[in-house]
Amino acid sequence: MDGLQANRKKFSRRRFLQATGALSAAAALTSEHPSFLVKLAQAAEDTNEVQQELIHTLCGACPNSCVMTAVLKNGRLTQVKGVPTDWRTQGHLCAKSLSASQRAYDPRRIHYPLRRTGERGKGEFKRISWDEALDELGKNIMAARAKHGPHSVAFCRGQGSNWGFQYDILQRLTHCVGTEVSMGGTECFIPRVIGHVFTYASTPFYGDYENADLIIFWGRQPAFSGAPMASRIFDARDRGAKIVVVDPLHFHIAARADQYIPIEAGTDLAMFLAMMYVTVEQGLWDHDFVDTYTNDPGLTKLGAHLRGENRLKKAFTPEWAAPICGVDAEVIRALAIEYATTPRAVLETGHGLEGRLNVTQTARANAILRAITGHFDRIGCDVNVGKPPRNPAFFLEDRVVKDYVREKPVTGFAVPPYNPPMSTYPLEFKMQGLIATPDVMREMEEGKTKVAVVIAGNPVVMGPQPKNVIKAFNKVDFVAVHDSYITETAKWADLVLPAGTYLERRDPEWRMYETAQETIGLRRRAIPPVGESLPDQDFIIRLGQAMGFTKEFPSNDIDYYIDLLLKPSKITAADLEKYETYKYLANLSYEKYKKTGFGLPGGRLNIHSVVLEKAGFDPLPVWIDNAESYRSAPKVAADYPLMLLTGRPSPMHVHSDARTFPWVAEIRPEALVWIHPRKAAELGIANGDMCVVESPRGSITIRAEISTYVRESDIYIPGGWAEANFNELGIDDQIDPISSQWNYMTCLGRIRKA
Amino acid sequence: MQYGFYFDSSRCIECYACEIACKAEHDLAPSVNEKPGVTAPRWRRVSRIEDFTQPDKSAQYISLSCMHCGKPACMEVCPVGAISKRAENGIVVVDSDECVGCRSCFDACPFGIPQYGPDGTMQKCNLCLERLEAGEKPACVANCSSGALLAGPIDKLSEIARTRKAQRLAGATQPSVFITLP
Repeated sequence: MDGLQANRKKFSRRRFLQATGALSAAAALTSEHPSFLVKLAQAAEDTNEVQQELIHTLCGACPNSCVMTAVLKNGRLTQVKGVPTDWRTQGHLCAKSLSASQRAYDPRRIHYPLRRTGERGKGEFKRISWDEALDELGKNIMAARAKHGPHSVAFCRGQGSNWGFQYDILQRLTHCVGTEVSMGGTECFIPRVIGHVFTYASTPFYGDYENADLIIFWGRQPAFSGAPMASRIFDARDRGAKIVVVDPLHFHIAARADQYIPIEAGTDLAMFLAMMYVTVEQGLWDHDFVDTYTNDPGLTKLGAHLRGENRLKKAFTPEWAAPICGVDAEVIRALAIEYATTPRAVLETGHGLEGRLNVTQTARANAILRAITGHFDRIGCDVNVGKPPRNPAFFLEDRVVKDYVREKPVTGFAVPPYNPPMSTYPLEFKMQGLIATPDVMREMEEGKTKVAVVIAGNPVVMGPQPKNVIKAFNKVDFVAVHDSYITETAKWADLVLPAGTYLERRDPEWRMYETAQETIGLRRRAIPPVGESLPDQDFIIRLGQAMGFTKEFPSNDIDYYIDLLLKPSKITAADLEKYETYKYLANLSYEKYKKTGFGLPGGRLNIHSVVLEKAGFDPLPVWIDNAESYRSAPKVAADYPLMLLTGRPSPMHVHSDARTFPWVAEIRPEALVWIHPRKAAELGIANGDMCVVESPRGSITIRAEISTYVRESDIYIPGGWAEANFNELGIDDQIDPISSQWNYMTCLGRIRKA
Repeated sequence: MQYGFYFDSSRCIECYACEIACKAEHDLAPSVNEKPGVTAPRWRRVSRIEDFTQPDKSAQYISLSCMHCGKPACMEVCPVGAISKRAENGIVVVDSDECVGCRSCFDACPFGIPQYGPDGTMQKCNLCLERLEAGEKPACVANCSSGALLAGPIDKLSEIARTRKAQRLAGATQPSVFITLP
């Protein structure tokens, strides 16, 4: 059935006012109903009858998938509103979410399938029909598959439509073809997941602020990813919790912290190691927990390792870490003691710890520090939250691994038990079933990829060294891009297919981050697809049908696939219709490991990682430097004396998305480079000057903003801007061998007035 | 009864939700047909305050809109009487049919609040009258992610202000705004 009508509530203006009033009156400080206002409303109503509809749905601007109500006036989306009764958001939505109407009706969106008419890169296209487009793409894929095998087809997937149902259904399609999904951007989250999974067999990423006495944000910015939940942080502080931020960037939450510790980008691993050293040396570790649940009782191995019995022959003391991190040894020692001696402490890390060679071992060090101090999955700490079980048969894994039958339901990602031939990063593949970016690029460069389909990604902007990304794509015979815009990547495509946004999509969603409860919910279609746009799922179904997989994609009704996927949960799309927000499957609970143990070699929490050891990597983390730092590249540093770093663009953007929304552009109209006041004075740069920023690999022209947000030795270029792209400067030939992550977030550089 | 705002800068994390919520609530320009970057009415604005002489000090953020002053300077100078103060709740409103776009109000307002739309007439925060009548919080308050922004009757705000070390913004126009500085 099509739920479009089922959950639309048609209201006259008066009824709408009454309904929303009743909903939020209790929570509102402004709950009085002055009688004059009611009279005003009635007067307005008599002359101006607006047909208003409210649709309860889920945001999709980022993976947080907050609950919201879409408001339509005379059939047009005018705004989205938070739901005050929702415990998690308390009715807040973020800047990204609130610009929904500008996303829906952005005139820059494409409305029809387009076929290239000019040279690649010129961006010249003509309109064709969906039937033509699907026929052409399907034929190209099937011909490449017949002639060169299934791995000659790359389905490159970006972040744009999240990693839930839209990813599951894409896996169903790629398995039909006989291959796996390829990464269509750069790995960000997965290395962090690897570090945690090989320690705990889980990812304790929910911060239990409500019960915490200490909250540490480390390379993590709640203002960017999770703003609707930010009041929880300050409510905890009102209760007496202390907020500490460790970050090279002194902004947003860092500017409001009780303690801010500036650190050199990419050196977090050294500080984690030193904090572990202090914890072990001073005997502050949780003896009961370590001895009962971990594979290093007494911390014999870890203790010796930290004291110098490691391949670097270095004792990881605070005094050793201090000059690397640019943080005083006493500050490191004090934080280590405070964390270890505060039983209820959250340690949240984020994207700031990624995009460098040591990313996986940084995540491992973070995970071990949390474990030995007794902060794993406990009250007031970092807690595991489950995800609903999904149907293993949905993923058709037997098409890629002969006769394979998965017995248990899928709760994380469905990863078939093999390593695809082009995958040289088996540990990364194991996490999410994705072919790693370096493998994808190599296959393209070597001419092995004949057809590439880019979905919800913009690798030409988001990958380091865009010119090399373009070169790789140009080696591919046939490129299709499914996106809402003619992105920088789409300009190089043979076919551009219009993608419907999350506002045009009906799909199930389970929260992966920032959630205390295991949940499942239904994103209802707020508006009909704009033009001839098709959301990911509908494009995938129709492409499957065009390639002849009609048995696997027998229906265009999305509920057929929802019901099939959620079978083990005994939940159907029709059931989900009954819930205005999420259906809660399980409440927050602690110390699950007491019942479940740890699904790792030896059945214990792996301080000493058996999986990494077997794969030939350090089983305990040792210090690994950035690809390009003052220490690892002193000769480069002589000419390029500043540390360049990048990261999320702002609270209003996700990656390269949202740059075209006028409300966002008004606040942040262009890319900016931040430079410290003293450094700017030294180099004669004034606020607003156009500057040239250079690295050994390239240069960009960008406007300078003088700011205290950066350290004196750093300059920060927010990511995602094609117009002045950090990736032109970034490093694309040095890779973390465990996770496949490029060292794409930091390098050395210099700046001068243009 | 005078309505007003309370802003707790010790909670603001510069997320801009208030600003965009206001834009969406009042469907403010620029419309999607205009070029990005076009300056347009901003009824609420988040500002970042940094002291370059003390670069180690944390930046301060402040989110401000019309202060619905007790003695609005804009109203006093308006030559055509387009600006009025509602007796019931002290909300300062402008009648765009009466406004002649002379911008005297902009010169008079000590906070630079009045904004001018494409038609040249003045527009500004009306404390989300429509939402108030529906028992909802103003859009900026409803979306303030960190709970830094509140709105309501000034006596209620004053109670909260006492517990949060806030001060009423001083000025001859008697702004109806309390602020906590970090």
